[in-house]
Amino acid sequence: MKRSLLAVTLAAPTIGCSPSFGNLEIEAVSNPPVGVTTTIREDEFEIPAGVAIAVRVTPLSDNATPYEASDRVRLRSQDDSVLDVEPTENRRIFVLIGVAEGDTCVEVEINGGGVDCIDSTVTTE
Amino acid sequence: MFQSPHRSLTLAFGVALLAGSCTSKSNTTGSSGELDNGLFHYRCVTNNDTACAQSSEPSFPEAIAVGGQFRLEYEPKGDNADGTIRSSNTGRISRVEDVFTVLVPGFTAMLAKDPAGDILDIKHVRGRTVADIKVRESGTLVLDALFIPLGNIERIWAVPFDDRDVELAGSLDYTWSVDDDTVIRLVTAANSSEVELEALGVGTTNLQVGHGDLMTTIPVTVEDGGGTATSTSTSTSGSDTDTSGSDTGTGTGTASGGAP
Repeated sequence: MKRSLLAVTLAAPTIGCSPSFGNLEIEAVSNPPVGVTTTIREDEFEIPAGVAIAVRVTPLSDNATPYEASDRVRLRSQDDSVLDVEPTENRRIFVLIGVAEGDTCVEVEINGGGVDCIDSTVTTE
Repeated sequence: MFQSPHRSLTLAFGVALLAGSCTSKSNTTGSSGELDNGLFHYRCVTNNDTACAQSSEPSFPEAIAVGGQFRLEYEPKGDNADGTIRSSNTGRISRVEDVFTVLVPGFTAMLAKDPAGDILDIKHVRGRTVADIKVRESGTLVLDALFIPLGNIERIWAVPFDDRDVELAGSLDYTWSVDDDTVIRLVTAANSSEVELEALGVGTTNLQVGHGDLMTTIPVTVEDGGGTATSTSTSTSGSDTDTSGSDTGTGTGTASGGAP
Protein backbone atom coordinates (compact mmCIF):
# COMPACT_ATOMS: atom_id res chain seq x y z
CA MET A 1 0.00 0.00 0.00
CA LYS A 2 2.76 2.39 0.95
CA ARG A 3 4.56 1.50 -2.30
CA SER A 4 1.41 2.34 -4.33
CA LEU A 5 1.10 5.75 -2.73
CA LEU A 6 4.70 6.49 -3.55
CA ALA A 7 4.08 5.60 -7.17
CA VAL A 8 1.09 7.98 -7.37
CA THR A 9 3.09 10.73 -5.70
CA LEU A 10 5.89 10.32 -8.23
CA ALA A 11 3.52 10.23 -11.20
CA ALA A 12 1.57 13.36 -10.30
CA PRO A 13 4.28 15.91 -11.08
CA THR A 14 4.82 14.24 -14.46
CA ILE A 15 1.20 14.92 -15.46
CA GLY A 16 1.51 18.55 -14.31
CA CYS A 17 4.67 19.10 -16.40
CA SER A 18 2.86 19.68 -19.72
CA PRO A 19 3.09 23.24 -21.01
CA SER A 20 -0.08 25.28 -20.96
CA PHE A 21 -0.67 27.62 -23.90
CA GLY A 22 -0.21 31.24 -23.01
CA ASN A 23 0.31 33.00 -26.32
CA LEU A 24 2.02 32.71 -29.67
CA GLU A 25 5.01 34.90 -30.33
CA ILE A 26 5.08 35.89 -34.00
CA GLU A 27 7.97 37.46 -35.84
CA ALA A 28 8.10 38.35 -39.55
CA VAL A 29 11.17 36.82 -41.17
CA SER A 30 10.71 38.32 -44.61
CA ASN A 31 10.00 41.86 -45.70
CA PRO A 32 7.14 43.00 -47.90
CA PRO A 33 8.06 44.78 -51.14
CA VAL A 34 9.13 48.38 -50.75
CA GLY A 35 6.12 50.63 -50.25
CA VAL A 36 3.82 47.83 -49.11
CA THR A 37 2.46 47.95 -45.56
CA THR A 38 1.66 44.85 -43.56
CA THR A 39 0.64 44.18 -39.96
CA ILE A 40 2.02 41.07 -38.30
CA ARG A 41 1.04 40.81 -34.62
CA GLU A 42 0.10 38.09 -32.15
CA ASP A 43 -3.55 39.01 -32.51
CA GLU A 44 -3.76 40.36 -36.04
CA PHE A 45 -2.52 39.77 -39.57
CA GLU A 46 -3.13 42.31 -42.31
CA ILE A 47 -1.51 41.97 -45.71
CA PRO A 48 -2.43 43.07 -49.22
CA ALA A 49 -3.58 40.62 -51.87
CA GLY A 50 -0.66 39.23 -53.83
CA VAL A 51 1.84 39.70 -51.02
CA ALA A 52 3.45 36.88 -49.04
CA ILE A 53 5.17 37.23 -45.68
CA ALA A 54 7.06 34.51 -43.81
CA VAL A 55 6.55 34.42 -40.05
CA ARG A 56 8.31 32.49 -37.31
CA VAL A 57 5.99 31.35 -34.53
CA THR A 58 7.04 30.49 -31.00
CA PRO A 59 4.44 29.10 -28.58
CA LEU A 60 4.86 30.39 -25.05
CA SER A 61 3.63 28.45 -22.07
CA ASP A 62 1.97 30.18 -19.14
CA ASN A 63 3.23 27.65 -16.68
CA ALA A 64 6.74 26.67 -15.70
CA THR A 65 7.06 24.06 -18.43
CA PRO A 66 8.09 25.55 -21.78
CA TYR A 67 7.19 24.16 -25.17
CA GLU A 68 9.86 22.00 -26.75
CA ALA A 69 11.02 21.98 -30.37
CA SER A 70 9.22 18.67 -30.76
CA ASP A 71 5.85 20.25 -29.96
CA ARG A 72 4.01 20.59 -33.26
CA VAL A 73 2.62 24.00 -34.17
CA ARG A 74 0.29 24.47 -37.09
CA LEU A 75 -1.33 27.56 -38.59
CA ARG A 76 -4.43 26.99 -40.67
CA SER A 77 -6.55 29.56 -42.45
CA GLN A 78 -10.30 29.23 -42.07
CA ASP A 79 -10.70 30.65 -45.56
CA ASP A 80 -7.76 30.08 -47.87
CA SER A 81 -9.54 31.89 -50.68
CA VAL A 82 -8.83 35.04 -48.65
CA LEU A 83 -5.59 34.23 -46.84
CA ASP A 84 -3.53 31.13 -47.51
CA VAL A 85 -1.03 29.74 -45.01
CA GLU A 86 1.67 27.41 -46.27
CA PRO A 87 4.44 25.55 -44.45
CA THR A 88 8.17 25.78 -44.99
CA GLU A 89 10.92 23.28 -44.29
CA ASN A 90 11.29 24.91 -40.88
CA ARG A 91 8.29 23.69 -38.87
CA ARG A 92 8.09 26.96 -36.98
CA ILE A 93 8.10 29.18 -40.08
CA PHE A 94 4.95 29.67 -42.15
CA VAL A 95 4.17 31.82 -45.17
CA LEU A 96 1.06 33.99 -45.08
CA ILE A 97 -0.24 34.72 -48.57
CA GLY A 98 -2.81 37.39 -49.31
CA VAL A 99 -5.12 35.90 -51.92
CA ALA A 100 -8.17 38.14 -52.16
CA GLU A 101 -9.66 41.03 -50.23
CA GLY A 102 -11.59 39.89 -47.17
CA ASP A 103 -11.47 38.78 -43.55
CA THR A 104 -10.80 35.40 -42.04
CA CYS A 105 -9.15 33.82 -39.02
CA VAL A 106 -5.94 31.82 -38.79
CA GLU A 107 -6.29 28.93 -36.38
CA VAL A 108 -3.35 28.04 -34.18
CA GLU A 109 -3.01 24.36 -33.32
CA ILE A 110 -0.47 22.88 -30.96
CA ASN A 111 0.00 19.15 -30.96
CA GLY A 112 -3.25 18.81 -32.84
CA GLY A 113 -5.39 20.91 -30.53
CA GLY A 114 -6.74 24.35 -31.36
CA VAL A 115 -5.53 27.02 -28.95
CA ASP A 116 -6.17 30.34 -30.66
CA CYS A 117 -7.46 32.09 -33.76
CA ILE A 118 -5.80 35.19 -35.19
CA ASP A 119 -7.98 37.79 -36.93
CA SER A 120 -6.70 38.24 -40.46
CA THR A 121 -7.48 40.78 -43.14
CA VAL A 122 -6.42 40.87 -46.74
CA THR A 123 -6.57 44.31 -48.29
CA THR A 124 -6.36 45.50 -51.86
CA GLU A 125 -2.91 46.65 -52.77
CA MET B 1 56.63 42.76 -82.72
CA PHE B 2 58.37 41.67 -79.55
CA GLN B 3 56.09 40.65 -76.73
CA SER B 4 57.50 39.75 -73.36
CA PRO B 5 56.65 36.37 -71.81
CA HIS B 6 55.36 38.26 -68.80
CA ARG B 7 52.89 40.12 -70.95
CA SER B 8 51.72 36.89 -72.57
CA LEU B 9 51.18 35.34 -69.20
CA THR B 10 49.22 38.32 -68.03
CA LEU B 11 47.08 38.13 -71.14
CA ALA B 12 46.51 34.40 -70.68
CA PHE B 13 45.58 34.94 -67.05
CA GLY B 14 43.16 37.66 -68.03
CA VAL B 15 41.52 35.42 -70.61
CA ALA B 16 41.28 32.61 -68.08
CA LEU B 17 39.73 34.99 -65.58
CA LEU B 18 37.17 36.11 -68.15
CA ALA B 19 36.36 32.51 -69.01
CA GLY B 20 35.94 31.74 -65.33
CA SER B 21 33.61 34.66 -64.85
CA CYS B 22 31.50 33.46 -67.76
CA THR B 23 31.02 30.02 -66.28
CA SER B 24 29.77 31.47 -63.03
CA LYS B 25 27.48 33.96 -64.70
CA SER B 26 24.29 32.31 -63.54
CA ASN B 27 25.36 32.88 -59.96
CA THR B 28 25.84 36.57 -60.47
CA THR B 29 22.71 37.46 -62.38
CA GLY B 30 20.14 35.84 -60.11
CA SER B 31 18.24 37.76 -57.51
CA SER B 32 18.26 36.49 -53.95
CA GLY B 33 15.02 35.09 -52.62
CA GLU B 34 13.37 36.85 -49.71
CA LEU B 35 14.10 33.90 -47.41
CA ASP B 36 17.68 33.90 -48.69
CA ASN B 37 17.64 30.20 -49.50
CA GLY B 38 18.53 30.62 -53.17
CA LEU B 39 18.48 32.74 -56.31
CA PHE B 40 15.64 33.49 -58.69
CA HIS B 41 16.67 33.77 -62.34
CA TYR B 42 14.52 35.69 -64.82
CA ARG B 43 14.21 34.12 -68.26
CA CYS B 44 12.68 35.51 -71.44
CA VAL B 45 10.06 33.45 -73.25
CA THR B 46 10.70 34.99 -76.68
CA ASN B 47 12.93 37.61 -78.30
CA ASN B 48 10.05 40.05 -77.81
CA ASP B 49 11.21 40.67 -74.25
CA THR B 50 13.58 43.62 -74.19
CA ALA B 51 14.93 42.44 -70.83
CA CYS B 52 16.96 39.90 -72.81
CA ALA B 53 18.08 42.30 -75.51
CA GLN B 54 21.44 42.88 -73.84
CA SER B 55 21.89 39.47 -72.27
CA SER B 56 20.20 36.10 -72.13
CA GLU B 57 20.84 36.28 -68.37
CA PRO B 58 19.20 39.58 -67.52
CA SER B 59 19.07 40.99 -64.04
CA PHE B 60 15.77 40.54 -62.24
CA PRO B 61 13.47 43.22 -63.68
CA GLU B 62 11.99 46.01 -61.61
CA ALA B 63 8.60 45.44 -63.19
CA ILE B 64 6.94 43.25 -65.79
CA ALA B 65 4.26 44.40 -68.22
CA VAL B 66 0.70 43.29 -67.67
CA GLY B 67 0.20 40.73 -70.42
CA GLY B 68 3.92 40.01 -70.46
CA GLN B 69 5.18 36.45 -70.40
CA PHE B 70 8.28 35.23 -68.63
CA ARG B 71 9.94 32.25 -67.01
CA LEU B 72 11.61 31.91 -63.65
CA GLU B 73 14.20 29.44 -62.46
CA TYR B 74 15.26 28.81 -58.90
CA GLU B 75 18.81 28.00 -57.91
CA PRO B 76 18.95 26.76 -54.32
CA LYS B 77 21.89 27.65 -52.12
CA GLY B 78 23.97 24.98 -50.46
CA ASP B 79 22.15 21.77 -49.67
CA ASN B 80 18.68 23.20 -50.13
CA ALA B 81 16.36 21.12 -52.28
CA ASP B 82 15.59 22.08 -55.86
CA GLY B 83 12.49 24.18 -56.09
CA THR B 84 9.73 24.48 -58.64
CA ILE B 85 8.21 27.90 -58.93
CA ARG B 86 4.52 28.58 -58.48
CA SER B 87 2.48 31.72 -58.60
CA SER B 88 0.92 32.41 -55.21
CA ASN B 89 -2.21 33.53 -57.02
CA THR B 90 -3.03 32.32 -60.53
CA GLY B 91 -5.61 35.06 -60.84
CA ARG B 92 -2.76 37.56 -60.70
CA ILE B 93 0.02 35.69 -62.47
CA SER B 94 -1.08 32.63 -64.41
CA ARG B 95 1.03 29.68 -65.37
CA VAL B 96 0.83 27.41 -68.42
CA GLU B 97 3.55 24.78 -68.34
CA ASP B 98 6.59 26.82 -67.34
CA VAL B 99 5.45 30.15 -68.76
CA PHE B 100 4.02 32.79 -66.45
CA THR B 101 1.78 35.64 -67.61
CA VAL B 102 1.14 38.80 -65.61
CA LEU B 103 -2.62 39.34 -65.51
CA VAL B 104 -3.02 42.35 -63.23
CA PRO B 105 -0.89 45.24 -62.03
CA GLY B 106 0.59 45.03 -58.55
CA PHE B 107 2.81 42.71 -56.58
CA THR B 108 2.43 38.96 -56.72
CA ALA B 109 4.52 36.58 -54.66
CA MET B 110 6.23 33.80 -56.57
CA LEU B 111 6.94 30.75 -54.44
CA ALA B 112 9.77 28.24 -54.81
CA LYS B 113 8.52 24.92 -53.43
CA ASP B 114 10.35 21.70 -52.74
CA PRO B 115 8.94 18.33 -53.85
CA ALA B 116 7.12 17.95 -50.52
CA GLY B 117 5.26 21.21 -51.13
CA ASP B 118 7.11 23.20 -48.50
CA ILE B 119 8.02 26.75 -49.43
CA LEU B 120 11.73 27.26 -49.88
CA ASP B 121 11.73 30.87 -50.91
CA ILE B 122 9.68 33.87 -52.00
CA LYS B 123 10.12 36.49 -54.69
CA HIS B 124 7.67 39.28 -55.39
CA VAL B 125 7.08 40.23 -59.02
CA ARG B 126 5.63 43.62 -59.80
CA GLY B 127 3.15 43.89 -62.65
CA ARG B 128 2.70 47.26 -64.32
CA THR B 129 0.35 48.39 -67.05
CA VAL B 130 2.00 49.38 -70.31
CA ALA B 131 1.43 53.11 -70.76
CA ASP B 132 3.75 53.85 -73.65
CA ILE B 133 5.62 52.14 -76.43
CA LYS B 134 8.94 53.65 -77.40
CA VAL B 135 11.36 52.69 -80.08
CA ARG B 136 15.01 51.85 -79.66
CA GLU B 137 17.55 51.89 -82.42
CA SER B 138 21.13 50.73 -81.99
CA GLY B 139 21.01 51.27 -78.24
CA THR B 140 19.50 54.74 -78.50
CA LEU B 141 16.14 54.99 -76.81
CA VAL B 142 13.16 57.07 -77.80
CA LEU B 143 13.09 58.16 -81.35
CA ASP B 144 11.03 61.18 -82.28
CA ALA B 145 12.15 60.91 -85.84
CA LEU B 146 14.32 58.60 -87.85
CA PHE B 147 16.44 59.40 -90.87
CA ILE B 148 17.70 56.60 -93.08
CA PRO B 149 19.93 56.90 -96.14
CA LEU B 150 18.37 55.57 -99.30
CA GLY B 151 19.06 51.90 -99.76
CA ASN B 152 19.96 51.24 -96.13
CA ILE B 153 18.28 48.75 -93.83
CA GLU B 154 17.62 49.87 -90.27
CA ARG B 155 16.75 47.58 -87.39
CA ILE B 156 14.63 48.94 -84.52
CA TRP B 157 12.85 47.55 -81.46
CA ALA B 158 9.64 48.36 -79.62
CA VAL B 159 10.13 48.90 -75.88
CA PRO B 160 7.27 49.07 -73.34
CA PHE B 161 7.19 51.59 -70.47
CA ASP B 162 4.81 52.20 -67.59
CA ASP B 163 3.37 55.58 -66.62
CA ARG B 164 6.42 56.32 -64.47
CA ASP B 165 8.76 55.80 -67.39
CA VAL B 166 10.05 52.48 -66.07
CA GLU B 167 11.03 50.08 -68.82
CA LEU B 168 9.02 46.89 -68.51
CA ALA B 169 10.11 43.32 -68.99
CA GLY B 170 7.99 40.49 -70.36
CA SER B 171 7.35 39.12 -73.81
CA LEU B 172 4.61 41.11 -75.58
CA ASP B 173 3.09 41.13 -79.04
CA TYR B 174 3.40 44.17 -81.28
CA THR B 175 1.97 45.33 -84.58
CA TRP B 176 3.88 47.44 -87.08
CA SER B 177 2.72 49.43 -90.07
CA VAL B 178 3.95 52.16 -92.38
CA ASP B 179 1.83 54.72 -94.23
CA ASP B 180 3.81 54.77 -97.47
CA ASP B 181 5.51 51.56 -98.41
CA THR B 182 7.21 53.17 -101.40
CA VAL B 183 9.38 55.06 -98.91
CA ILE B 184 9.90 52.33 -96.30
CA ARG B 185 9.40 48.60 -96.52
CA LEU B 186 8.78 46.74 -93.26
CA VAL B 187 10.45 43.42 -92.73
CA THR B 188 9.24 41.74 -89.58
CA ALA B 189 7.97 38.51 -88.15
CA ALA B 190 4.38 38.51 -86.94
CA ASN B 191 3.92 40.14 -83.53
CA SER B 192 7.64 40.81 -83.23
CA SER B 193 9.19 43.54 -81.11
CA GLU B 194 11.88 43.88 -83.73
CA VAL B 195 11.53 45.21 -87.26
CA GLU B 196 13.80 46.04 -90.16
CA LEU B 197 13.11 49.16 -92.20
CA GLU B 198 14.33 49.09 -95.75
CA ALA B 199 14.70 52.58 -97.21
CA LEU B 200 13.22 52.26 -100.71
CA GLY B 201 12.48 55.83 -101.80
CA VAL B 202 13.32 59.39 -100.83
CA GLY B 203 10.62 61.00 -98.73
CA THR B 204 8.94 60.96 -95.32
CA THR B 205 6.35 58.60 -94.01
CA ASN B 206 4.96 57.55 -90.64
CA LEU B 207 5.86 54.34 -88.90
CA GLN B 208 3.38 52.97 -86.37
CA VAL B 209 4.06 50.42 -83.67
CA GLY B 210 1.21 49.20 -81.50
CA HIS B 211 0.54 47.00 -78.53
CA GLY B 212 -3.07 46.43 -77.55
CA ASP B 213 -4.80 49.80 -77.66
CA LEU B 214 -1.54 51.73 -77.58
CA MET B 215 0.00 53.15 -80.71
CA THR B 216 3.19 55.16 -81.22
CA THR B 217 3.88 56.99 -84.46
CA ILE B 218 7.33 58.02 -85.63
CA PRO B 219 8.10 59.94 -88.81
CA VAL B 220 10.75 58.28 -90.92
CA THR B 221 12.62 60.20 -93.58
CA VAL B 222 14.59 58.49 -96.29
CA GLU B 223 17.40 60.74 -97.44
CA ASP B 224 19.23 60.63 -100.71
CA GLY B 225 22.96 60.04 -100.53
CA GLY B 226 25.25 57.87 -98.45
CA GLY B 227 26.10 57.98 -94.80
CA THR B 228 24.65 56.44 -91.70
CA ALA B 229 21.17 56.56 -90.36
CA THR B 230 20.43 59.14 -87.71
CA SER B 231 17.65 59.54 -85.25
CA THR B 232 16.49 62.25 -82.99
CA SER B 233 15.71 61.36 -79.46
CA THR B 234 14.45 62.97 -76.32
CA SER B 235 13.93 61.71 -72.82
CA THR B 236 10.28 62.56 -72.84
CA SER B 237 7.63 59.89 -72.93
CA GLY B 238 4.38 59.74 -74.74
CA SER B 239 3.10 58.17 -77.85
CA ASP B 240 2.35 61.36 -79.71
CA THR B 241 4.47 62.15 -82.68
CA ASP B 242 6.71 65.14 -82.13
CA THR B 243 9.11 66.23 -84.80
CA SER B 244 9.97 69.55 -83.21
CA GLY B 245 13.30 68.29 -81.99
CA SER B 246 14.32 66.63 -85.19
CA ASP B 247 16.87 69.28 -86.05
CA THR B 248 18.98 68.60 -82.99
CA GLY B 249 20.76 65.73 -84.65
CA THR B 250 21.33 63.84 -81.42
CA GLY B 251 21.07 60.14 -80.89
CA THR B 252 22.93 59.16 -84.01
CA GLY B 253 23.01 55.45 -84.62
CA THR B 254 24.44 53.07 -87.16
CA ALA B 255 22.34 51.50 -89.83
CA SER B 256 22.00 48.00 -88.51
CA GLY B 257 22.92 45.53 -85.85
CA GLY B 258 23.23 45.92 -82.14
CA ALA B 259 20.82 45.11 -79.44
CA PRO B 260 18.11 47.48 -78.28
